[in-house]
Amino acid sequence: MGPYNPRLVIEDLSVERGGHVVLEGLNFEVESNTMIGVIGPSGGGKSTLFQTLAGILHPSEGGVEFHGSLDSRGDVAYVSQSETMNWQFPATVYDVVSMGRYTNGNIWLGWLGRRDKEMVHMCLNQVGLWGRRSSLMTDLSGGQRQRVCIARALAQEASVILLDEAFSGVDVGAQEGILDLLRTCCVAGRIVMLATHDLTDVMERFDKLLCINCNLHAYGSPEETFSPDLIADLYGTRSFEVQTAR
Amino acid sequence: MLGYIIDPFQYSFMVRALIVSVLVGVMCPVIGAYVVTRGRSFMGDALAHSVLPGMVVAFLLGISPFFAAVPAGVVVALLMGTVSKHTGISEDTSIGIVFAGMFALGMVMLSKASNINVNIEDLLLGQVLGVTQTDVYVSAVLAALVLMGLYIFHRQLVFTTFDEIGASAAGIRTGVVEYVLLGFLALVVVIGIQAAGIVLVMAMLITPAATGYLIARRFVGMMFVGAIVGATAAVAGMYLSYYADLPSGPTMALLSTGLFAAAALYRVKWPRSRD
Repeated sequence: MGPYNPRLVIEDLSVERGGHVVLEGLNFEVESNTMIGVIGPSGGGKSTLFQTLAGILHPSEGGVEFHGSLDSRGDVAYVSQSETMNWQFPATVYDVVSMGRYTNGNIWLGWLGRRDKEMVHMCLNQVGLWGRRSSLMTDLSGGQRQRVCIARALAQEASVILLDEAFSGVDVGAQEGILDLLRTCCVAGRIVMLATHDLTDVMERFDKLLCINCNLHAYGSPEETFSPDLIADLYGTRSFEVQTAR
Repeated sequence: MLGYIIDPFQYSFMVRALIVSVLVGVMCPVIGAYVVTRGRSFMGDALAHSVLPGMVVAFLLGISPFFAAVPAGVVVALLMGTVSKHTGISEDTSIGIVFAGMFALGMVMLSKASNINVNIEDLLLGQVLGVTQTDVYVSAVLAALVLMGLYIFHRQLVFTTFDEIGASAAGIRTGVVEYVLLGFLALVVVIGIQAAGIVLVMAMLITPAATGYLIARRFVGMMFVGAIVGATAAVAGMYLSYYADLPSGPTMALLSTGLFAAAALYRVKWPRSRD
């Protein structure tokens, strides 16, 4: 077991946004060293779930209990959807990973200390991008950007890493590399949750699948969870059968 | 040549003008870097126009415009955010509504306030040669406060500007950071109005920062280049204003725009190399 030992207990969780119920009555637990794929249709509440776990949104009912090595808000790292990030901001790879150090009370003043720099160096090595540290984020491919954001989450020393629509703009080859990288994050004991609207090609790479569309539709290992019936239930269509059969 | 540069400083109004020009030239682009990268230029313009009623009140009371304009700017900045948040109207629309309403109120107040000794043209277009000793002191103190504040909040501002949701998840209070930035912006806009006026302060706030964006690779570099460009335009504008009897605001704005055009041409001719 690695240095991280988080455990998440989600009890009766309901969340409202703008007067609408987006999530209702979710119950599930996540143990340390688990990689979870979160699937569901657009607007099904994946981002809302992640933002609630990260403490950005508050439950209207029920709640999230943090156990083990999870004790403060900065222990959950959130890799946002690429579209919500500000690509006008002129930042290098190094600058973005440095932001991971701007947490857990280190949010004041300007410059990084020695330990912070060592941490940034180590995390960039871990994702294989130390050589690109001076590159501008806008010069990177979708897959490389995603790796930088994962390095930022690692620099944050977070026990839980949430990746929202992690594969949008990332080609299939790069997806494999990212999944390998996330697996190494899990081995250190972390919980990794990755949301995407289409996991059919890579679902066997996850320990568990969490299928939500306002309610919890299924939660378990990919083999016992993923079925044409579930897809029909979740998306209201059987069109995914073609892809699952492939 | 040296005489042309030094001679004007036998007049104390020129010393005051120089100090304020440098303060405006440096402060505006430094905060302008956030305005530009956050895509909030319209907010900056609106803020500048909206402090007019506050300034008129200051003239009526016979006090330095800062004492009324700064609180007015902060209130307007907060009001713009609040209108959008609570009505569901898009932010740029609510900014436009507050902008036009406040500027109109200021102009009506000016037209009725016959007993105040202020040149409307100077107020709208700036007149750095007319700043008082109090203006200099207040500008210097406010500039120091804003620079210190930007340094203290640097990490939170940078993270929030790049990735608001990620920053929020990392425990940064992004809403508070937004209001802090608006507060600083209101202060800097009021400092800038002395030199470039309500209508043209944008040329100091966003044009040098945008020039920095074209030249520098990283955000802090953008701030530095912006400050050099802003200070150059402001000081050169002040001299031209003195020797050629030009209004200071339009002169500074033109120089600032010229420097931006030169940087843009440079960038078109030599595109930024990758890596």
